[in-house]
Amino acid sequence: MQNKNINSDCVNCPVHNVANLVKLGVDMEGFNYVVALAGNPNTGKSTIFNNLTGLRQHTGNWPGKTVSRAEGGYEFKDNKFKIVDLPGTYSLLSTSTDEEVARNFILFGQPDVTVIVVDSTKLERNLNLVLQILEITDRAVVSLNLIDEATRKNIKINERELSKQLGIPVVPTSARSRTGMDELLNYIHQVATGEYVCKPYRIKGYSKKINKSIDELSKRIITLFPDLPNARWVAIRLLEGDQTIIDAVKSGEIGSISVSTSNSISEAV
Amino acid sequence: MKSNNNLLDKNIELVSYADSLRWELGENLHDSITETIFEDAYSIASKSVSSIDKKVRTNWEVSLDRLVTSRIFGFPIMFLLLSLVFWLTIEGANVPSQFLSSILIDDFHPMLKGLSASLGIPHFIDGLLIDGAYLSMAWVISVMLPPMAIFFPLFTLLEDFGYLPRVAFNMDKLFQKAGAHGKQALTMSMGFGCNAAGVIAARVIDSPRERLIAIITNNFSLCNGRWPTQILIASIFIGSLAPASLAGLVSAGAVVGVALLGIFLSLVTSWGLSKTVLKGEASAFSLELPPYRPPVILRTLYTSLIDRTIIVLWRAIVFAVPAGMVIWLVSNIHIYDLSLAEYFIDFTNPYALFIGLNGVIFLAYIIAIPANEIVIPTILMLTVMTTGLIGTGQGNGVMFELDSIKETGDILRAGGWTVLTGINLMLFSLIHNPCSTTIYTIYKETGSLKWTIFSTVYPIILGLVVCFLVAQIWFLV
Amino acid sequence: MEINPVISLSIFAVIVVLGILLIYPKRGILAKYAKLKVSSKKNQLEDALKHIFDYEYHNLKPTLNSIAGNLEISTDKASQLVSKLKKSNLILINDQGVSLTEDGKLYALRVIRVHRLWENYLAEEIGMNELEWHDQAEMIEHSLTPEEADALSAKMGNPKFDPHGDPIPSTDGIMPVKKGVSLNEVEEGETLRILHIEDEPKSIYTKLVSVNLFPGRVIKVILKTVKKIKLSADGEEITITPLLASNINVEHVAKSEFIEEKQRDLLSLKKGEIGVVARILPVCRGQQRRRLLDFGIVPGSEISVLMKSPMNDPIAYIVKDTIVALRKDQAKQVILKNVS
Ligand SMILES: Nc1nc2c(ncn2[C@@H]2O[C@H](COP(=O)(O)OP(=O)(O)O)[C@@H](O)[C@H]2O)c(=O)[nH]1
Ligand SMILES: [Mg+2]
Repeated sequence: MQNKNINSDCVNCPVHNVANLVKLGVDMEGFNYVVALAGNPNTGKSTIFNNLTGLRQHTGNWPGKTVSRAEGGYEFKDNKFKIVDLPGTYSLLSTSTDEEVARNFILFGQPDVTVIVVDSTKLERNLNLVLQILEITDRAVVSLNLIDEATRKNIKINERELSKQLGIPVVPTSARSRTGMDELLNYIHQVATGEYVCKPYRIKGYSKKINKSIDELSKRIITLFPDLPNARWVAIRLLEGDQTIIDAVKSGEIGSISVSTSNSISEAV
Repeated sequence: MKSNNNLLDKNIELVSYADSLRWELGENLHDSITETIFEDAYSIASKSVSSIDKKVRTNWEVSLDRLVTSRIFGFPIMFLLLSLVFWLTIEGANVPSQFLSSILIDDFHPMLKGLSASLGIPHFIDGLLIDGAYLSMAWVISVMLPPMAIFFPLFTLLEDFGYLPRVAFNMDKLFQKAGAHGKQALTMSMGFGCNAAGVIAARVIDSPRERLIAIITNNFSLCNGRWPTQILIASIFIGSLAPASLAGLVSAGAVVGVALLGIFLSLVTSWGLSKTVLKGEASAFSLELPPYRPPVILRTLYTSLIDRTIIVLWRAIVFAVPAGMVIWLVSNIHIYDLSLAEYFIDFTNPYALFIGLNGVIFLAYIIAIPANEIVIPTILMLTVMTTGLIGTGQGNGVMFELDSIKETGDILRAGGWTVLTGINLMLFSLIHNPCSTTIYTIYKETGSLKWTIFSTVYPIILGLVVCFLVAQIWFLV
Repeated sequence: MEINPVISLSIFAVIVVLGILLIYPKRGILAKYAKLKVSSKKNQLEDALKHIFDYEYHNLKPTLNSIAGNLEISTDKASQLVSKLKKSNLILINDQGVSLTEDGKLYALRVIRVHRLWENYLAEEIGMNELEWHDQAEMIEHSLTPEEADALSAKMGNPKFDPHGDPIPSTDGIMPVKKGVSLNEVEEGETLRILHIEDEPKSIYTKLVSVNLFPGRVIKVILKTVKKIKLSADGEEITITPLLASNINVEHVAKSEFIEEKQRDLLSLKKGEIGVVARILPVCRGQQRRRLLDFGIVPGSEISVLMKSPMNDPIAYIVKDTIVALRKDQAKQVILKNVS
């Protein structure tokens, strides 16, 4: 496990998993941090990606057109960020290829920051994905995109309240007119360096029966993999019969994901 | 090592434990997890969103949607918009195509020839590289680049605006009946521009079965590369059947007829596939209809050029170069008195005539596989070669085209073409294997040799059968 | 090639007819051949094992006769099969009949695993009609290797139950004990959830499907006589014979889960009405179900009609501020409460 050289006292060290990122086909040579862009289809991920990197990825008003993963880079406050545009998905619970690509990247690559791009006009539906991502990673920023459309439709979002609820930074953006990009960059930087400590919302409210199974299973998971930051989530995936996770547990590969800095909040099981 | 194994055993134990818990939780786990997440999402959203007089849709969006999906105007609007795109493509491509061809073929080709002559390069190498490889590449660029550079941006604008999902919405019923997905309407429309791009566009279809159907049937969309062939042959052989004043209309009608036949075949094939080898009900349509958004024009132009045009063109060039060499070689390698091409043509001619085509067409379709655009030049070259016409053409293995439709017709008639040959060529041009770029793209997209071969061979067989039937019935009456 | 077109066209017609005879589904020569292969020796042995397992699972005693009956072969043939199975140490023969050895049990479970996985595959990934699942799975169960079965299972997210509600044995042959009771064993007035519907014999299964009984449906027994059983479910009344009922397995549920009145489905929603989603029917499964859930079509969500496509199908709905287009078939599978 190469990334174990990261001292757990180091507050502003990168947390990404170099070895796993290489396996996922991302070369971190020359970059300090890696940022993932996730979100529902058609929320403006590629537009944001293009804004930040100056590249010209294909964008289009049609769910499902970004199909291969795009990569780019940018510099901010003397740090070099690698940014990866993940395929748009409605959820991370299903078995489609897109969802697997996005999920595996966030889980195994452990990006320093995951920017979740949401459509402000459909916040509730988009939160479905946000909450799922927050179960996997602690380090995320919500980009409240298409805020111009929301305003036009008389939808007002209290981003402070939302940020308080979710426990992560929330930045209103309008990617097409490039508004909010500076603030977004700033928050990405803060979360990456550990300046901003996220306290992500965790899904409550599962039924008693399900909760009991999750508890029992995650207890066992923790004994085998004490450093795992998201044992409850792994438990749920095992209960859903997710083959990638089953394989990763069987081979012990899941152990490569670990709490590597002190600012991650370990799960209270 | 032992302790390692021990650990692994523990891991496996953990997985089996999870497995045993799953029996208890029953079948509805996924449902209840999703419900829980949505409950949480609802409570968070209701705390942070306030909307007074919220409009899910603005008024003009509602009216526009009414219009483009209306029972009366829905289809006509669709038809008009797509026709407009094709018309702009075909008309708009003429001038730049001629410009490119005058530079690359009329100017640069003789210049290269002159250069090689002055350097004393042997005829064989000069012919192979300049008349074969270079010319074929130049041809592909000049006939493919302009229409694609027009079609793709136009199509992308429609996509950006949000109209395309509405097309899928309107057309879905037809595809549902054929056991396919409504989004196939889009891949089909895209295929009218370029089959390779249509095949790539099939990525938007989630279900692997329906995606495969869309990929296999895309070839029946008459692509840009085939429109000119259709128009030319229709004007020569079909237009001439009608009185002069109606000739234009009749030949245009014939081309549209062929395109419609393509749509029909595409639906029938989808239906057949979904009843047999790709068995299954039409899956759910479930599609999110995005709001209309004004397209970002400049960026659209840029990305559609990079994303689509360049990729497709590059693939075509990669195949055109070797094919050009083959074309030159088969017409220039002689065994005794005849070239390889002539042997092949003589050998296949009887069979080809039997189904209303001829040996030249067979050979042209085999060696012009890189692009449908070079079929006609290849046919002309081969016809001149085999008939020994003097005064036209540029020599064995050198493709050419004529500005005059009449002269082209004269050459073809001299090569023994009849109205039947014309009709069957139009049919065969619609129903034959995809071009090599598309075949390669199908392989890349499906990752399956089996389906790639099927997509290639099935249309050939179908095309031969259709030509056979038309020919026999023609002979009968 | 100077052939008279009449002759050539006739030859073509003959070829087409032969081709159709060859590949015609179910009755074509290829299909017949595939069926022939199914009835080969190995398959018969496996079918016999399955039958014995099935009987033991339901606490019945398998006999030579029951084997012969199930496989549709003569008792002579059946006894040949049995002695072969005995020789391979897969079964024991005793005075009451036959029983499986540990090896025989594992063998049977492997076959059952493939069968149920394949039914699941047909139902969820292919979307094939439910009446065809069983026959297809009967063929595949003998030819898929355990490794292929595992790969298939992994691809589908390792399902635990087949579409009839039967548990799918794990790779190492673990399957939970039978749950629930036969519908014939319950009393009038009880509220029940259907756990399992037996898909053999096909004639009975077809009837059960046609009266709209499926695993997951909550029913109430409103009348029970020797001749018939009258059920009520979502305001619908269904009458079946005890013979049909014996193929249904149920569990008891709380009275509150039973739904008295007829419920409306999404397809019946009119423009201007707002419905609240109650549930998605179990017939909507696999990827399709997941996609509906992803769109936020979950119990409690408000949904309304936006517009119809020119051919009336699909229909666009608004749910959670999003426009979602669904086909009519699918809309029928979404059940509403509180339409206003
Ligand atoms: N009005 C508005 N449109 C946007 C905004 N961000 C993206 N878009 C448009 O939304 C559509 C989808 O964007 P894209 O980046 O392709 O989304 P992706 O699928 O998430 O990658 C495109 O037509 C964009 O031009 C925004 O903030 N405001
Ligand atoms: Mg994108």
